[in-house]
Amino acid sequence: VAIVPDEELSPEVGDRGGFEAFYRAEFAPVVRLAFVLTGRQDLAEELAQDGFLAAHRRWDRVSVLEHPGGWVRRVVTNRCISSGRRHLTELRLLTRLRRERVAPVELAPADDELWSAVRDLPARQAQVLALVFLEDRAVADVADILGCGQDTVRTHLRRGRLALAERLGLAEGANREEDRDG
Amino acid sequence: MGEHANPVERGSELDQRAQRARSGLAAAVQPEAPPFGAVRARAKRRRHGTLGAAAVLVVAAASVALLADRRTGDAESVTAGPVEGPGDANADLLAPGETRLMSPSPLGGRSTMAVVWTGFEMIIWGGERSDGHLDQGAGYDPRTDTWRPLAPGPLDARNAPAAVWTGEEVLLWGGHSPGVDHTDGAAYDPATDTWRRIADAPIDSAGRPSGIWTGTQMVVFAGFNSTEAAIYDPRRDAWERLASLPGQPMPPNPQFAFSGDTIYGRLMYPADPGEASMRSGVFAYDLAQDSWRELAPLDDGSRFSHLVWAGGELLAVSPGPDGRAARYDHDADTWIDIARWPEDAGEFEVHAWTGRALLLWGGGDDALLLDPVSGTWTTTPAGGIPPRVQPASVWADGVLLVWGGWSDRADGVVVRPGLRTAPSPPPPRPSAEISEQPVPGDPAVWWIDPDEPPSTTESTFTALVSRLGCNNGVTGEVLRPGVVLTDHEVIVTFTVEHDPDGGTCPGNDLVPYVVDLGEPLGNRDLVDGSCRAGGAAATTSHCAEDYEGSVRWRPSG
Repeated sequence: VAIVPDEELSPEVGDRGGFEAFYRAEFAPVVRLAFVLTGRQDLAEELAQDGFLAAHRRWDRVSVLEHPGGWVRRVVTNRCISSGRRHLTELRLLTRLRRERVAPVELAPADDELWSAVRDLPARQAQVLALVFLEDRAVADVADILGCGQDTVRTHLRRGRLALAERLGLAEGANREEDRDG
Repeated sequence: MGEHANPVERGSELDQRAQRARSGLAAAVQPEAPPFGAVRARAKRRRHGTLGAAAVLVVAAASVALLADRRTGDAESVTAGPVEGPGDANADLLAPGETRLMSPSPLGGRSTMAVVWTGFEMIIWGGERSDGHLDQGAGYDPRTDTWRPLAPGPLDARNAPAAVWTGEEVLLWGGHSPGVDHTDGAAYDPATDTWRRIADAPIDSAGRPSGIWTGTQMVVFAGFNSTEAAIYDPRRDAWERLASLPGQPMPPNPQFAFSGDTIYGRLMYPADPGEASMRSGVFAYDLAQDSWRELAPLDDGSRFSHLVWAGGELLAVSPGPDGRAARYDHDADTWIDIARWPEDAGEFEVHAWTGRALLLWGGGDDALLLDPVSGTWTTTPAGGIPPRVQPASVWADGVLLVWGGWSDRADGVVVRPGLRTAPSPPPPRPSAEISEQPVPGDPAVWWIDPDEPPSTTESTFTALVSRLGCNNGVTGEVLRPGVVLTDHEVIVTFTVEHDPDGGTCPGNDLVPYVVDLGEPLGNRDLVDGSCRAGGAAATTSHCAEDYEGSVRWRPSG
């Protein structure tokens, strides 16, 4: 939970250096990323909104980054796997929506099975696989977003892929590392 | 584009499956971005404290901000303080009582380094070793057990700078290197791995400076050779002097604790004016008033008490044969003994408040845990690394991180303290209306309705009940709960109507249910029985230890 300055919360405040366009363009893909990691669209939207609020508060610094979208993805993916923060968000969301019924996302069974399997991976592997499978990210991108080394990403990717393939009963070639280097 | 992680065009079955799933997800999840003004407005309402547990943290931090701003007469509130609150985000890294060694660090061993916890990393910078002072730093992420070196900074090598985490930046100030008591400082942004210099302070560091983040500003105390203090505002990059301390902080490790509006410090001062002999006391600094007052004497016979702000109260712990732990009674201005120092217990270098217990770590095989409520000591595995001098340590949302502690100590350990034992079963209480066991059904968890908080004088309260298992978002009918009444707790366990079909797994809706206890709630905690040991939700995030835990509501005061 972060405290938000009054002047930044005021609805009448105008666009801050392109933030609004950034928010409009990135909101849906960031929600989809959070959905892969949480399995719930309502929670994913809430976590994404928190991520964009964080970006808005630091927009003077985030906007000059090479990939502001990567910064938001780091915040949101970390919040998705941080049980304390996620719990707070979940409680807040449940309280707000407590008398409403939330319709689950309708996915094809095979797709649901794949994303569920991603969620069941260890947290860091799930983050890496979500970015790779959903957003088709390169290793260097994933490393930048998650703030870790490329070798670390490769390790999580390799282990995550093997675990997924085993769970889903799919073939996973022995030479995948070579493929990825290409 | 660099090395590709997902060469679908040459894909395995898994890649092809992922590509289809990506398309399916894009079609099924098409959220519309709500107007950002509405998002901000909702966050603003949250800030004003209407939403239960989250609001408690927000209000606490907001109070800090308001007090600090009142002190400087600055009406504009910009706050980004360390308000994540006690969390358990990393408790899942280890089992209770489990420890592990950290991966090797890129830094050499050292002592007296600056250290902060950012919520993601333990950031270490500077320090001292046998061959000199240091100007490198590194970040350690306990989730990945990985280190990264920090970009080189603008500060000269030094030991013991004051360090705080603002929520965005690490602020470093002061410190000592041979012949120099530094007045300069810098800010490090871990999101961009960049540094910036901050304005020079109006005071010199002298000894070992201490820093406290108030929510908007950094208070620094110059060190154990000085009575000077100053406050830094990162928005204006400007300093102000504060009232002088009524004594000097106790060497070698000045002890300060922060309650949210008051800073407590152990200070020493001349026993009588003009006399060389010194006495020590605990003093309180009021941020809003910029003034100090002395608390009742601690009378612990030790110069080395550790002060800890422990979830709403000030604790002092003094090791040694005559040592003890005491809590400060604010209303009566007196210290109340909690426990004697345990026999045969060794010294400790590190203390941390876990949210429920005070953890005292000194290396070796065992660390001490003090439960201030019951006054009982227990031990928990410490990790088995040797004792060390002034290591870096942080409480990292569920685990203790300790690293370094002199030239030959370049190793570190991650410690998750053991759990407290479950309370004894309560005595049965006959009641025609209340049963200790819930009606059999599917498990559920519950929270307090923030719109209808309980009252200690009422015998009913409203719970918001949610089915624990997957059921397409539907909780269904809430069944009569089990209620166990003890002297200290009311344990309520809910079930919901059995649904044999289950479903997909979004969170289920919340269903209000009025619980009639048959007697006033009184000064007792309300506890979710499903979160207790062996309960259906005990291992889920709904019951995260050290954060919400099983306690859904606690009477104030």
